This record gives sequence, structure tokens and C-alpha cells, in this order.
Amino acid sequence: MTVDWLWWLQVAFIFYFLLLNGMYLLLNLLSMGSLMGYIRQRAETGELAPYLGVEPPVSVLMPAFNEEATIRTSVRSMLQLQYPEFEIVVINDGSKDRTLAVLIEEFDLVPHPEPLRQAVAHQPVQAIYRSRRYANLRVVDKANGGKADALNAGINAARYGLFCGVDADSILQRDSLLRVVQPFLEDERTIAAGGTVRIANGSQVRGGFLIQAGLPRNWLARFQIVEYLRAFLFGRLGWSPLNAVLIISGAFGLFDRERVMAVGGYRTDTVGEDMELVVRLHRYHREKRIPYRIRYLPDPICWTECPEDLGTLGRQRSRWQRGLAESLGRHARLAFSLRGGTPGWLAWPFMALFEWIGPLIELVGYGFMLAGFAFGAVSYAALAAFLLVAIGMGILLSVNGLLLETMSFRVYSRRRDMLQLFLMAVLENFGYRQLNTLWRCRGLWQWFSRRKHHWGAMRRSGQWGQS
Amino acid sequence: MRSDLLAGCPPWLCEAPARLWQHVWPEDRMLQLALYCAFGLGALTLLVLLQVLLLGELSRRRAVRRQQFNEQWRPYFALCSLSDDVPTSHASLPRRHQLWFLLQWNRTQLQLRGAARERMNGALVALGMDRQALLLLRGRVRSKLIGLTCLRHLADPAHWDAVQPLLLSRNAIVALAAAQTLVAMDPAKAMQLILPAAVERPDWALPRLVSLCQQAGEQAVTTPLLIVLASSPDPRRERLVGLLVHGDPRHAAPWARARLDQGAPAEQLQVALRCLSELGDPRDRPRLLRALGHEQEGVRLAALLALHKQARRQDSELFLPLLADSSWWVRQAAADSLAKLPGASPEALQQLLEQVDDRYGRDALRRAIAEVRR
Repeated sequence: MTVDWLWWLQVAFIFYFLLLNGMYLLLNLLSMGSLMGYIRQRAETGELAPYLGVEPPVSVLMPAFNEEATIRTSVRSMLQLQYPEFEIVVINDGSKDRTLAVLIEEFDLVPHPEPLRQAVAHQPVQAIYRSRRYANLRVVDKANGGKADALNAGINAARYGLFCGVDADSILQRDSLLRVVQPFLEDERTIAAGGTVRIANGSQVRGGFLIQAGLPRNWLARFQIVEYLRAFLFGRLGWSPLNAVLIISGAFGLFDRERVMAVGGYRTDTVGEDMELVVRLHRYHREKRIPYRIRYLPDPICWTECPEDLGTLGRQRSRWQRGLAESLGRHARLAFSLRGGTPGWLAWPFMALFEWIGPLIELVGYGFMLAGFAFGAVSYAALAAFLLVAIGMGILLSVNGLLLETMSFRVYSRRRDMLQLFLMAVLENFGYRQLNTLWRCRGLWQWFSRRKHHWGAMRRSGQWGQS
Repeated sequence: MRSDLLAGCPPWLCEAPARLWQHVWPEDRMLQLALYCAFGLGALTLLVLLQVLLLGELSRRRAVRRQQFNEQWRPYFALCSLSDDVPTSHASLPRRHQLWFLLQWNRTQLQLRGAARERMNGALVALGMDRQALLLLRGRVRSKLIGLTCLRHLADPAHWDAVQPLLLSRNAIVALAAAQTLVAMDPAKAMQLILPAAVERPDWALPRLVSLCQQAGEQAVTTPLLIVLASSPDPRRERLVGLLVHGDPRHAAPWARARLDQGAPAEQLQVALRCLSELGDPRDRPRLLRALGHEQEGVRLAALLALHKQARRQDSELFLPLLADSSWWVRQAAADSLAKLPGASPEALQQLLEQVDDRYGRDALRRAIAEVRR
């Protein structure tokens, strides 16, 4: 009886990993088709970002908390965006450092008596400033309430119909806004569009712009480059044609303000406010039968600094996992609703099985198989099959992420860089991914124990601020 | 045979590896299968790596060749844009590079204006490349788009018949590119074709149509649009109402007045008010005042903005009550109107501010005054 049970457990773990990686390979194929179509269209319409002169004005919202090292460069970068009409609203969420002082000095801010709508709720605003140098720059100084709360204040302060949420530690490529707005011009049903987030560590940043993409020296950062390529180029691109994108990164996403206000803005009681909002938008529009589109585009690029130490990275991953669990858990009805559509019937179960409870199954799987093998309960054959599907297919998936990158944008064009990334794609499967699984399980525990959430602290190199 | 071949083989070369292989290779069938799969995955991974490197190399080479081509022809294009006579080119233009030539020509045209563009057009025709552009219209989507862009820059009505069929293309990108080219050739004639077609093409997004209307100019837009709105039996025509804002307000005014008098749906009323706002005819004032009391905030806002355009010094009495409107946007617009009234001095504005009882209205006016003082 025990032997039977053990045998079935081995088969179950092997089958789970096979299913996990098999589904990701399928998603990879979908992404490849989608990417080829996108690249063809881009080649047809010209590689330069199209400019029609009818682009709707955009409010760029930058929530900031203790960002004195990078805020100057980030705002400067935003001010130079290639876009016909836009405003920048920086929301200082009760920073304890000199963020506000740096902004006041750098951009010649003066207090401005501006009333804010209360379309969505947020912590009290202490003051609003406007820049005497840049007519399209305002700063909202408010009491600390978290990133979602800051974004809500930004939504109330925004003057235009579309808003773009951007992290204050990120920089946009000059044409990113022009590219990410395209779905809104091509299809009137579009309510949100997200771009790609890439790692800027190791790249040359000057004057708030990324001059040359390069690889960082730090191995953790290199692993994350491969990981981001995998997550964006096929994790999201595959879902986009099915209108089932469940995540638009908080670091860079464009939204229809009225639609976001209609669903109540960002929720402040979650750490994954970006994903939660997107899932809620899906659910709202499906339940009310309002036609809508949520798109992901691979070429509007946002560059961000990634953590280079294990502590910060681990905390970030735990927070992300917790956010994912909160978003999926809150909107489980989407999956069981008759109106769930592709987001509810395909994307939600996929995310729930492989991303939400996935780390837990993986952790138990690794533990069981290795311990079982050590105590002789698991055969060579079973262990080999397990490692093959868990690690071998994982390597193939990571390498496929690189293939997508080469087929499309070739941001890392040097042969040496590609070989190094290939090496990372192989090596990340021996330790880094397992470590990630541990951090994600910690995130699940934090979600389960309902630990209080707060802004994710990040150790910065501060290089951008000095440039 | 085999033993003959191996007879001369030293044991360290033939026997030792075979023994090692037998020692390592498992007897368990499942393990064997797993190892075969591992080898397969490894080979696949290496193949993907090779593909990555190969694609990277090919794209690098293509980029170098393209750059060399552009560097070779850029000075020629610069000369073309400066001189009325077509300069002689020292570089040959093989057939495989003709597409690159047209792409570079299109790109150069985007940066030019006025006479320089005309000279470039002349050069293209003199080189016979306009015929090549026409041939591209028969090709695949990418070729069609390059050809259409060329013909758009040329804007020669002689190409009309070649371009017009592409307006019916099922590919929205091609159809809209053809529409742009037709507008460049003859805006009035083009809009007579495009607007009725747009009713049946929900895949032609409204911002693209707005762009076409802007390109065509208000004279070319108004009449065909009014005809479509009045005569098309397709209910989808209502989608195009918003385009009237880009038409000639004098011609659109009767339509707008009729909508306001009949009490049309809110979306149409907003468009009508925007048309009348552009016209700025004081005779429409009673209509605008009536629309100020509409239940929809969008209509009230459009009426307020239209009234703002023809505001007089004494109109503060009209805008003051709107500072207490339930809509945030109407309050802000009313405040802006008050702050920008003709002859409004800082003292007068301060006095106005003191008259406002509504807290939100006062905040709005304070903000508007601060912005005027900037």
C-alpha cells in the first residue's frame, strides 16, 4: 500500500512538471506566432514609432517613496518623451528622505492651489506643486499610504483621459509612450496596454536615457535579464491575442482613466495592485458585457534597475508572489463565471495552477524526490525523469526566451552578450530557480498569514541620479 | 567485418570507452528513455542556441549592408532635394536594392517640406522609380505599404486608378494607407469615397479617421460627411458623428442647430456644441444657454466651453453659478472662464472669489486665478 502511494506520488510530481513546462512551451509557440505577426506589422508600417498627430493626451503618473537617488533622472527622462501632449504628475507618498526637496530644487517647484477630485479614495494631500520651468510637471505631496494609494491620488490629479503609471525608479525609452498608445488608436475597445520592462543594470544611462544596452557584472542581475525576457516575451505576449493578459506591470502601463475610476481605482489593501487592477478590469467588463481589450506590446520599453543582492531580490519575489495570490484569490469568481471568457477559463486556471500554488508543489516535489532518492524510496529512473522535466525543459524554455529576443528586437546585439545570456539561461536552472521557488513560498506564507504590507524597499546603486 | 576493422584498434581507444559506456548506461528501460529524452532536449537546446547565433549574425550582416546602402545614397538624396536638375548617380541600383531605395526615399521625404519635396518627387519620376512603386501595389502587404507611401508623397492624381481598389482591402492597414494616398492626391474626391466606406468598416479606428479628416482639411470633409450621416441606412453611421468637429463649422452649423433644437442624444449634442463653439455665432447663444441646463455633465461642459469662446465682460453672472455644479470638470471650466473673462483684473477676480459660497467652487476659482497669474 505504501509502495503504491509512493509510486503514484512520484508519477504525480513528474506529471506536474511535465504539464507545467509543456504548457509554457505551448505559450511560447503562441508568443512566437504573435511576435512574428507583430514584427511583420512593424516592418510594414515602418520601424519608427508612427506619429499621426491625433494621439490622445496622456498623464504620466510617477508614485515615489524615498527615491531621492533616482527621482531627478527619472523625471528628466519623462520630460523628454517623444509625445505630442502629456503631463507628468509625481506623487510623493510621504517620503522620509529628501525626495520632495530634490524635486523642488531641481524643477523649481512652487505651491499651487489646486483642488483634487475625489473620484477614488486616498490619504490626504498635503500640497500640490507646479514647476516654474516645465508647464507640464506637477508634484502631489501626500501622506504615506502605499503605492496604490499614491496612484489613486495621481488618478484624481490627472487632467487627461489616459494615464500611464510609471515607477519612479524606471526610465522610459523616448518613443515608448508613442508606441504603447497605438492599441488605443487602432481599436476603440482598448482600455489598457502594457509594455515590456527590461533590466537596465549594466547599461549606459546618460541624461535620463539609456544609450547602450549591456550586461551587468552581477550574476543575479544577469539571471534576472533572462527571467524578464521569459516573463515578458512569452509569459505575456502569448496571452495578448487571446485578450487574456492578467498582468500589466506597475512599472509601465497605460490605462483609460474613466474605466479605472469605474472599477474604483487601485486597491490599497494588496501588494499586487497592478495585477489586481487588471484582473478586476477583466471581471468588471465581462460581468457588465462591455466590449474591451487589454493588450501587451513587446516594443514599448521601460528600463528598470533590478536588485543585485539576495535579500532585496528575495523580498521582491515574495512580495510579487503575495500580490499574485491576492489578485487571483480575490477574483476566483472570474474562473467560475459563465462570462469568464479566455481570462477566466484559460488564463486564471493557468496562473492559479502554475504560478499561484505552483511554487508550493515544486518545493514539495524537489523535497520529496531528493529525500526519497536519498532514502531509497525513489528510483534512479524516476529521479532522472523528474530532473529532466524540471531542469531540462526549464533550460529549453529559458533559451527559447532568448530566441524570441533575437527574432524580434535584438537589444543585446553583441555575440558575446548573447553567449553569456545563453550561459545564464542554462545556469539559472541550477540553484537560482529553486531559490526563487523558496522565496515565492515565503510570499505564499505571508499571504496566508495576512502580514501587513508596505512599500518594497530597494537598495539602489544611485548611478542614474548621478548621470 | 567489424572485428577485422577493430583488430588493429588499440584497447585504450576501442575497448575502454565501450566498457565505460556499458558501465554507465542503465539497464532500467525507463531510465534509458529518460536519458534519451535528456539527450534530445540537450540537442534541441543547442539547436536553439545555433539558431539564436545564426539569426543574430544574419541580422547583423543585413544591418551592415543596409547601412552601407544608405550611406551611399544619402548624399544623392540630399543633392536631389537641393537641385532642380536630377543629379547623376555613380552608384548602380540593382533590382534587389530597389526596395531599400524606395524606403530610404520615403524616409527622406518625411524630413522635407515644400520645394525640396517636389524636387525629390521629380528625381523619383526621372529615375523611373515611380513605376517600381506602382508595381509594388501588386505585391504582398509590406510591398503594398511601401508603394502606397511613395505614391502618397508623389500625390499624382494619375495614380488614382491604381490606388483606389486598395481602399477595399480587407487588411485595415493597407486600406487606410490607400485612403491616405488618395487624400494626398485629391482630398475632396477621396473623402467622398472614404466616408461612406468607413460606415461599414468598424476596423477603421476613429483616431485614424480623424487623422484622415485632418489631412483632407475641413472643406473636403463636411459635405460628404453630412450626406453620409443623413442618407446612410446603416446605424453604424453614428460612429462618424464625432468627425464633424473636423469639418467646416459654417456648413455643419445647420446640422448642429437641428440636433440642439430636437434634443438629440448626449454624444451628438456634444459634437453639435463643439461645432457651434468653432463657429462662434452670437445668434446661437440661446441654444448654448439652454444646453447649460442639460442633465449630462459632458453636454454642460461643451456648452460652457462654447459660451466661453464668445464670453463678454458682463458674463461673470452666467459662469458664477456653475462653480457650484455637481461635475468637477464643469466647475473647473467655469473657473477658467471666469479667470479669463475679457478685462478681468486681479482685484475683480479677488472680489469674485469672495462672492463664491461653494467650497469646491472657491477652490476651483483659486486654482484658475493662480494659473492666470503665472
